[in-house]
Amino acid sequence: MHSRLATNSLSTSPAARAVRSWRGGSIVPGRGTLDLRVGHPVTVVESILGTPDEKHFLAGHLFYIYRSQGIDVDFGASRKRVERLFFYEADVEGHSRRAPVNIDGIGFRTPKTKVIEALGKPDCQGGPVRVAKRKKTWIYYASGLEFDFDSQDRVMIISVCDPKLNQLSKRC
Amino acid sequence: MTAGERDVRKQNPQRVASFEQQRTAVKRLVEELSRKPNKTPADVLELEKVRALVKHLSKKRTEKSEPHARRGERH
Repeated sequence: MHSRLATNSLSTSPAARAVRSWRGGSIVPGRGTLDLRVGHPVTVVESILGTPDEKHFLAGHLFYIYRSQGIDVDFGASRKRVERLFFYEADVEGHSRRAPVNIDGIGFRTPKTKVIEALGKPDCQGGPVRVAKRKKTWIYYASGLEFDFDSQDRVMIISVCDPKLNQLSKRC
Repeated sequence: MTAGERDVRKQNPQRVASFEQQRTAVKRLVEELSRKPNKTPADVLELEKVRALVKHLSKKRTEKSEPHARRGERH
């Protein structure tokens, strides 16, 4: 069972209301960016990104969806601290703007071959799967970094998590 | 076939095979999505959708056909 909450009427901290568009930055695997990090509490995320466009409870996890900033934040089952950060290319899975992030020169629409060339052989990979009317494949590095590729094998989602969250032996 | 057996509900083998084929394809998708370490909200929704579809197809697969018409049955 999951629910979708309208967030317009929810009270937020003054810091969350005053936030301007996030400037983004370089991604550190397993950590996030310089200011937006895995492990941050909800209040810190709200002070950086503002009030989310939507909040979802899916499979026991709390997700903050920032459609206009191209970011989703997964607070996990604890619903208190950031477990995963998702950065999207524009027009992917309902996000209107591309998140302003990159990693070692790799950004959105970078070909899969270039990602593997730069970061090495992934520890886990999969797909194709059809999600939100798009066929996608993915590669995952044990450092807590994942790339989702579109049907043309170009980066469309970059996600970061604490490497301890994903035990690869069970999956790959 | 005796009169008693005429009424037994049966399964259409072609229908069973078709549901089994669909179920296998959808189960493969469930496995593939479950393996994905970082699931986006859309991935989670899709996974819930295909899991429900596997359940539905499993139920349909074991469903029996309609009973044969029973002529001369007293109501």
